[in-house]
Order: sequence, then C-alpha cells, then structure tokens
Amino acid sequence: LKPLSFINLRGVSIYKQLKIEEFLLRNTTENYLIFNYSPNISRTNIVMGFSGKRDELVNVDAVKLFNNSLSKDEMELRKVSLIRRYTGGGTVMVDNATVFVSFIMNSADSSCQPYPRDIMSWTETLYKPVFKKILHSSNNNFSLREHDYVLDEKKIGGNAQTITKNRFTHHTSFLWNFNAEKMSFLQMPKKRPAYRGDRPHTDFITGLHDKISSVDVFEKELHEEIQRHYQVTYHPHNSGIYEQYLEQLQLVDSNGKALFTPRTVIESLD
Amino acid sequence: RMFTTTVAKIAIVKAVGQIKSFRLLSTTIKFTASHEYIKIQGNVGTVGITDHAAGLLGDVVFVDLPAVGARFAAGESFGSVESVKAASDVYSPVSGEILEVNAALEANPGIVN
Repeated sequence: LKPLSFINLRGVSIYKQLKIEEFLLRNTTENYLIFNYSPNISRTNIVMGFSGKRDELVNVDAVKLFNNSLSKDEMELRKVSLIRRYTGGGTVMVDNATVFVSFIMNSADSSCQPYPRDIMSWTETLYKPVFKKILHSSNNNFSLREHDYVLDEKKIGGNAQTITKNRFTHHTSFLWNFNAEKMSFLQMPKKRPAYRGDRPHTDFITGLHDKISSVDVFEKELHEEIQRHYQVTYHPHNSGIYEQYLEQLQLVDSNGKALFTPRTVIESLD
Repeated sequence: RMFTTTVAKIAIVKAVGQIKSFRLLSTTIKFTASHEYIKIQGNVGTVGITDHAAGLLGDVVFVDLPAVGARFAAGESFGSVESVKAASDVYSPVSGEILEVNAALEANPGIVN
C-alpha cells in the first residue's frame, strides 16, 4: 500500500490551509488527505476559483455593506474576505460550518488518470461507502452528480482541482450547515450544472448536520476507508505538523525573496 | 485529428523530453508525455495541447497564457488551461522564449475544444 498522511487541520483558517495545500502539491512528492472542520473560526470567506471574475460571481456591494456595518471589535471575527484559490472551479461561501477535505496526491498512486472527470470518479468510490455507513437514513443517496457531491438532488459538497504533470489536488467543501442570509453574497453563476436548473442557492444545497451524527463520525469513517487503500499516518490537529508547514511556507532565499509564492491570495473588495 | 488550438509560439533553445516524433514535409512534430505538442519549423516551435488532452479536460473556461518575452526551461510549466473545475498546468516541451501567444484564447477560451 502506498503511504498517505491524513492530517487534521482543525483551527487553521481556510486561507492558510489553501497556501499549505499549494505548497504540498508543488514541493513534495507525498500523498496527503487534509481534513479541517473548525467551528471556532467564526470568519466567513468567499473563495473563488483561480480564474473567477469577481464582479460576475460576488455581490460586492452587499459584502462591503455587511463589512461596513461591523464595529471595530467585530471586524476581526466577522469580516467577510474574498480569497482567490489556486484551483479551478466555482465560488463558495465557507465558514465555521464547512468541512474541508482535500486530497493532494501523486497521480500514479491514485488508480485514476490525471484528468478532471477520472479524478472525480475516483473520489466517488472512496466517499460512497463512507456515506453509506454514516447517513442516518437509507433514503439519502450519496453520489457524484456532474461535478458535485449530492444527496439525491441536493448539493452537499463542491469540488475543485489543480492538475500538474505528476500530481493533483482534489478538494471539497462539504456543507455541515449554511447561513441562508450570507448566501446572498454570491450571484447566480452564468455556468450552472444542468441538474441545478434555476433553483436558487437555498433550494439547491443542503447541510449534513441533520443527516449524520457528527463531523467526528465522518472523519473517523473516512479515515477507516482510506486505510483500506493506503498506508496511513494520522496527524491530529495538535501534532505540530501545521507549524512545520507554516515554517516552510515562510522560507526565503539569501536575498530575502520567498522560496515559494502561492497563487492563493486575498482579493481586494474595492 | 491530433492537434488542437495553438497556445504559443516559442523560440527553441533546447529540445528535450519527446516521446514521439515524426516529420510532415519540412515540419517536425513532437509530443510530450503530458500531451503537449510542438510543431517545429527552423528554430521556432508552435506549442499546443493535443485533442486527446483537450477532450479529457472538458469545457475550457480560461487559459492562463505566458507573457511574450518570458523564458522557460524544457519541462517547466508555462501556463494553465482551466476547465469547469480544474486548473491543469501546461508544460513547455522545449527551452526557449515566448514569441507570440494565441490572444484569441483570452476572449474565447472555449476554442481549445
């Protein structure tokens, strides 16, 4: 079995996680699964794909209005930021009710071809038995529908990828729950999956919070499933591994220039 | 059909990494293992991605083009092609300098496939 590190990054912001992911993708030759559910990080972020056009995807005025309504004390905890991530794909609202699961893999170790559809199908084979075990109701059916993970007709997770010559990232933001009010910060995208039809966000998505016992159960069963395919080393959130990665992200050369410049950036709302 | 839309023209410094090569009249065409092709005429190469790769990517929504004048080493990523959910790196088959890019891809990335 090929080795894989299963890393829990609880407590790490999505912005920092994305930069670490990009670093691991481009600077290592190892396999990783990153799992991050951080209910104590109250900030909401809008995360756009690499080529996303801000003004077509985000209600910028609504976000600015919300941010301007916050007091100085509230800003640090509640300000909505816009992040451009290193992977393709669409725009998502993420917050303390989002569960992030990211695969960063050698293509040769994944039993799929390094193309978008093949990678998606490969991940479906890993998730299907996990959801079969953890969903309360047998009436809820997990599947990959076009590019999304769904329970029947409703989206529970959005996917995005970056594919390099020998490696790829496939990452997912699963909805544990969602704030309908904040969904209004997103515009209806021009390109939508056919199965969505004209449904607004709130009719198109659903959370997992009332369909499985806990995020811990999800992580545990996912860990067990991955162990059937890989030689897994588990790194809990307090293992110190996050700090190691952060240190490597900050390395500079003799001229003070960063050795690695991630494409993931915080975008201005102005 | 083996070829799809051109991405860039590159002045060749050093060619490496080909797995297949054949001649079509005065043009040599080479392919990489990562599905880029280069059509070589003299010391200028025209680079793109194969139909096979373009088909597997799905609908292309964005092409990240290199800057004219930029230099790349053989095997180095010089741009990316983004489909609905994936950004896929494109690798230079040769070392060289970008002479020209296919600007039509900026406004209409879908012409790739």
